[in-house]
Amino acid sequence: MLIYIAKRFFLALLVTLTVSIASFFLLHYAGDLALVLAGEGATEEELDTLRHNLGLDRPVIEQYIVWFGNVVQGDFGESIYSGQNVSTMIGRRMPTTLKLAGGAFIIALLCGIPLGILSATKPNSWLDRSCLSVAVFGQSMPGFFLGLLLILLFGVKLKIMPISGADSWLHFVMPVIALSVGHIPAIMRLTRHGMIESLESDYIRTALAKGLTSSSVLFKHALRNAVLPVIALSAVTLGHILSGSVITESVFALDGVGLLAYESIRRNDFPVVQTVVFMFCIYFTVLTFASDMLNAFLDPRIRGN
Amino acid sequence: MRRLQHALALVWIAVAICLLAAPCGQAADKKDTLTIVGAMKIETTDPYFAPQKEVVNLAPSFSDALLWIRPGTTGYEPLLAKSWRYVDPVTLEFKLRPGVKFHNGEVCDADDVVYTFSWVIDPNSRITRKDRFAYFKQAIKIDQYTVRVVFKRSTPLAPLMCGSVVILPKDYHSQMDPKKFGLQPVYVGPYKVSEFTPGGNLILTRNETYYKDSPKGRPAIGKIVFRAIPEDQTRIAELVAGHVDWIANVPLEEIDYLRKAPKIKVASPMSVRFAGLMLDAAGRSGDTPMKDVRVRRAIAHAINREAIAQNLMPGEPMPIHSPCSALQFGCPENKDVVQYKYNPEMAKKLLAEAGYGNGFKVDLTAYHKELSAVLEAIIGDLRAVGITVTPRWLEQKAAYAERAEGKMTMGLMSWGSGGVQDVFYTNVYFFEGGNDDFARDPAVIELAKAGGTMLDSDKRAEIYKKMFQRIDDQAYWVPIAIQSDFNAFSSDLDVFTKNDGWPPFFWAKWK
Repeated sequence: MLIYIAKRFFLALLVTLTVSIASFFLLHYAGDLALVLAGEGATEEELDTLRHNLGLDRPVIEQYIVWFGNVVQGDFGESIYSGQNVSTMIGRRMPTTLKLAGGAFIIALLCGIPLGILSATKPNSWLDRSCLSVAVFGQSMPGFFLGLLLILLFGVKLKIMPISGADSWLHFVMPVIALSVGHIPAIMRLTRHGMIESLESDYIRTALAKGLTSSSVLFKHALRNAVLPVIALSAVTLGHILSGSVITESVFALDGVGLLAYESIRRNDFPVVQTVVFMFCIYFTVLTFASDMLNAFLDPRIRGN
Repeated sequence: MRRLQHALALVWIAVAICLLAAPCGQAADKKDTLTIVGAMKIETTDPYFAPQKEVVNLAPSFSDALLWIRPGTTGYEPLLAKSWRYVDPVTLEFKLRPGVKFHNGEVCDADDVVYTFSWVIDPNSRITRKDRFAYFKQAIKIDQYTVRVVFKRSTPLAPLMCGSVVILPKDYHSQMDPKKFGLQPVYVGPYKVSEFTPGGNLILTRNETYYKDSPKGRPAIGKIVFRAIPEDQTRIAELVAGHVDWIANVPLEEIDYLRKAPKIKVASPMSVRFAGLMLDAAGRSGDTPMKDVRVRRAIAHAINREAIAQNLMPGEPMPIHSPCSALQFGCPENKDVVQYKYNPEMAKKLLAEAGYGNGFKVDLTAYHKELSAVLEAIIGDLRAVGITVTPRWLEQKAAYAERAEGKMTMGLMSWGSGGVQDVFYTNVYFFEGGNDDFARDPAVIELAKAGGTMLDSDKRAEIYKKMFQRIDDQAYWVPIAIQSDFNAFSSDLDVFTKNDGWPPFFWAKWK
């Protein structure tokens, strides 16, 4: 088990390092930061001075090493646009994104897994077809459009929900629904598939023959085996929800990290963009690592291999 | 299994009860609060570090300069200064109003004015848009309420430039990191910043110690709340639902809907912003057909500006024939310049004379998404005369960089002159031989520079007329039309709309 953990940890570090290098180089070759900062009408002399002040005249690899050294010490630099500390900017917005992503993740699981179980217990029935229709709806409906529909119906027509902002828990209801709907289908389908396979297994027939109740067989035996791929998917789903919250945050004017990333890209605010990319990379890496560990714990075959 | 189904049903019933029972957002107390919404978040309230439109437009509500342009007019009036005069062509003298106080109670006098000007001139201050203050040389204190501002060279925009310098409190500002000042700002203004979260809300409350003889007057509304909602449809939904009172940046396609919505008004303020095609006549991007004046004139004849202005740019649907707005000093009347009427046959003839009878291909760079329909129309018009246009959509910063590096063969520009009602800034950027000048015409450069230093208004107007006649004759630009910004607001709100940009909210009141 320790060797397995060490291997996965090393791979996680390697992925993080590779993404940070790639994103740093891509950002720096995407445009002249000095020109962006100096604005229109800047002379060559002013541009050269600015490049020197910001260290942009040094080799990119040297800039990366300096940046990474600062990151390791927790210093992500300052926003070029506002002059604020990047860590502070992200830290202030993180709770909003976590609330939104956490809520969407929980709703996706709470809806996806039970629907998958329901669907699997009566395959090809009207219940199964209804659940699959929900899945198709969720996969085909753009989150952006669903958000606007919810605003129109509940915010403008019925006036029972707040439309934008993050002043209360109620402000998160529509955004959470809009963000979670797109992720329910995958969880539901995977759960359904896993449950159908499990329910057709010999050990389930044996359990039923021994007189165990159907709920005991379903939840204690079948679900435990069916849920393994769902755990792996959940980790990736959470990563997608966190990084894909930008559209939802934009529609509902939630001041989160996703919206910050979008606005920073538009403003060429390199330090913020770099930090956000690095941070999302960490998210995915940590979540995937945690998922691997959980899977190894639940399934001895994985850690044995 | 049945238990699971029952459990799920109970969960949904509980959710429905919570939703129906919970209160939702209520409209603010309309009697003393005005909620306004823009598209971009404000990260700092300091106009020296935040050139974004939201801060530039809101700043007059909470900060004063020595002079100002009264909304709806074009002349400069005293504000913090009670009078001003030219001492010599490069020196302005200001007499300050005694007894004026900053929001924190500090008295505003010559020391603060000198400090402010010295700070904006200082290269180490690293403010954004430093080019706007490049003309200042120094500020000199004469006595406690008299200051002289000296310019590096004579400029007719000296009063305007002084009016763009918001006065800072020396004692307070000098003791803190300037970038932190925007988080807890102190100015002289009809409102003061009482609460601000970067990226969040900005709350202004009426300044009860604001000087009584200010031409801005005492605001009727006690509190202004600014919120940022990036998504157009969400902004509109908030206004229609009655949760906010005024919104900016109404998309063109929503104007009809809002005009028909109950208790909503739509306003199209006058504008100095115009849209036009900039052509690389100087050949900076390479040896392209744009270098030939016949090709440029052909392009001007090929584009149906009247139809574009009438159908795609509502509000002030008037085509323009010079790259400037009629609101700007120095912009000639259409009758005084050559007008390239829509004439595709003439365009083809000119192209044939230039050796492009079979047409050619060209890239067109654009960055303003609200001009996408205009771009499509231009592409269609040019295709009809044999010119195949490949559009290149870039983000604004990328387009600016490409323009400054001379890589743009044809660019669809949207130019607002920084809101300045004078062609001066247009000339500085596009016609004085700088990074963004794609004409590089010595005659135009000479006239632009001459107009930029002439203090006599009549002579200046004549110089600019000659300059634009040359520019239009050579078709360095193909101007299209004026671009208006649309705002929408509650019909219960009485707000001034006859200026360029956002309304002066310090004059807003409830009916």
